[in-house]
Amino acid sequence: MSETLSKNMKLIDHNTLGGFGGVGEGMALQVTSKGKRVLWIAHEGPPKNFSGIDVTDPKNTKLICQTELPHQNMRSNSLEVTGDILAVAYQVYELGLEPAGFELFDVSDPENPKSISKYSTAGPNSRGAHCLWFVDGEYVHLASGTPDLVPRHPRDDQIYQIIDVRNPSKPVESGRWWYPGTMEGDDAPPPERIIPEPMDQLRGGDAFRLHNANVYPEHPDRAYLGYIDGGAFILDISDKSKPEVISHWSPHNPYPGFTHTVMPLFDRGLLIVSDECIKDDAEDWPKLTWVIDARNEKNLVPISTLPLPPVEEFGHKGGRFGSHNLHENRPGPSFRSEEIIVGAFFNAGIRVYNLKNPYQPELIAYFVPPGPENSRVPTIQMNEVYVDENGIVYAGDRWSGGLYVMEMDI
Amino acid sequence: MVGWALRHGDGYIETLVVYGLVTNPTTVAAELGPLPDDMSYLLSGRYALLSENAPALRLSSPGWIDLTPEGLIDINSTDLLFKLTLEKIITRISSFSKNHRIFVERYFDFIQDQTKKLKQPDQNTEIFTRYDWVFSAWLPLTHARILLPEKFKKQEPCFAEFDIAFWTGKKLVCVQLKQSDSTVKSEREKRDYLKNNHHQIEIVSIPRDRLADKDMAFPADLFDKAFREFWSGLNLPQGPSPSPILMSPLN
Repeated sequence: MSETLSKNMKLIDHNTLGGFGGVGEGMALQVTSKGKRVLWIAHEGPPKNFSGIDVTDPKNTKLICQTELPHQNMRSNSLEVTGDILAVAYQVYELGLEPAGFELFDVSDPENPKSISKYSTAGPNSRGAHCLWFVDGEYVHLASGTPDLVPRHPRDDQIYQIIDVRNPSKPVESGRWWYPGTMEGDDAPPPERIIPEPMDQLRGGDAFRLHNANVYPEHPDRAYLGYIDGGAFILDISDKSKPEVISHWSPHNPYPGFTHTVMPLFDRGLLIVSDECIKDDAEDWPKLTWVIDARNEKNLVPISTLPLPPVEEFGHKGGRFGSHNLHENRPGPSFRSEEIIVGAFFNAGIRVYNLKNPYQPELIAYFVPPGPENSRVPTIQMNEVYVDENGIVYAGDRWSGGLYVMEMDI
Repeated sequence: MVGWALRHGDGYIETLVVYGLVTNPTTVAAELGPLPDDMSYLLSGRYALLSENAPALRLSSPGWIDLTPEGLIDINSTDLLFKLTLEKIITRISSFSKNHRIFVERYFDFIQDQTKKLKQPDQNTEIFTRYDWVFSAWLPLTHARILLPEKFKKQEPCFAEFDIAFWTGKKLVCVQLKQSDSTVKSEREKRDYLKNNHHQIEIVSIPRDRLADKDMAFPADLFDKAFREFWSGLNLPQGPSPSPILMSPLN
């Protein structure tokens, strides 16, 4: 346990999610036809599938729904909601297990989610879906293994897949793309590993696989991919059956890999690119969030990084320290700004930056609560963040702390 | 920050608009004293300091543009001068502000089109054409930061930010290009304060879709007639003011 550190942010509620406070990489806000506001939360691991929190009064949040995974050898790390349809990613811990892929739920009655359909990506070389993006009600953009592809390296299994869910009861694949050279049969040679690691662990770094694919309705012909050790990609997906690379940027190496999120700021010609910290005690420091000049989308130029607190101060407090998920400016009941960037930085908490001058990003607010009870590390591990249209910040601890609700005074 | 305190009283005797590519408007404000008694405004490439009765700031107003003899040597037509003026405005827009640039470019298209509504002067008696009136259009002050009075917040100078501002002599027309974005509380409070306390301010919000479509024209319908007919009340057109060195008498 440690003291709270904060600047221009204050905690207005804390919900431990019924004792299952390990929050994954999915938070999405639904506003029901009756005006109820429900925050859907993915869990870091079993036994829970997903939780629904009534945040209509953000100072008095209530757990109204919590579902179980079909078995303990899987997780549902990611989710998104559009309208009354919730999409949940299923990732298994061993190759070949099911269910792997994603499931759609009708959450028009949020206390009683009803399955609409499942889309399976299970296969002998697949561990299913780690992450998904679903903001237009039409397509799920998926980071997943496939039933058919054979990765040359076992950790390079998750590729970009575009799944048409316009008929939500019958999802169908529209297109796919992967890093050239990562699959058996590719003409390209395998990519050079950044920091080679033992092959016996499926999770973790040393991977050329997709993490996030962000596609925004105002520019539906572009996909922004964080391809872990492969760096950042912009794809032209105007023909979804044939995604084509427009540009690629990677700081790895010399930087230590794991590009996670690539978020465009369209009006400003910028990209915000986060590299996920994946090791405790700053073993993979520095894991940065980059600001990229993308005015010429074919020539991506890094111009700054979001300033982090000193590694000597945070690196050895316990747990991970560095960048991870960003609030992704998604449509819906969501804060959308091209100047204010909100991110989750594990033991450095939630941090808010002013990007008015993209050459000199400025830290303007932060909130670092004490390490929660029953966590496997002594510090907070802020894993995911979502900001609603009113500027209320929802953030989740990776291991046990559950949901933290904050107000920004900026 | 003596200058800051001096410049403001109730009723906004003077209005300071810091504009363009200024990273820290406070440093600009700190350099300035109050307006000299014999002047109603000051205009530079970084700021406009305006009294209540300051004349309109137009593309032809002296002070904001520095046209050197070298720069003017190849300017042999109104059209070239107009393009040069646009270029000078564009240099006062952040490279990362696509919408500002779109707005200004469409504004220049608009004022050019507006001159076509004017009657062509008799070329036997007049040396100018109707096109020459374009330089009478309002000067866009990009990335406008308007100093708030000390009583708003005493600790430090505060500025209400608008994407573009125009001073028409009667109104300070403040344009917001991104109102569909989430606005943070501190920015909203500053704008609201200015709106509620500055009797000459008018805020025009441009919907995002009016800029996003590349085929859309300048959103003239969102501005009043006095704004659209910028030549009203003027007798003759005038081009952008040249460098003082060109205006000084020959020895």
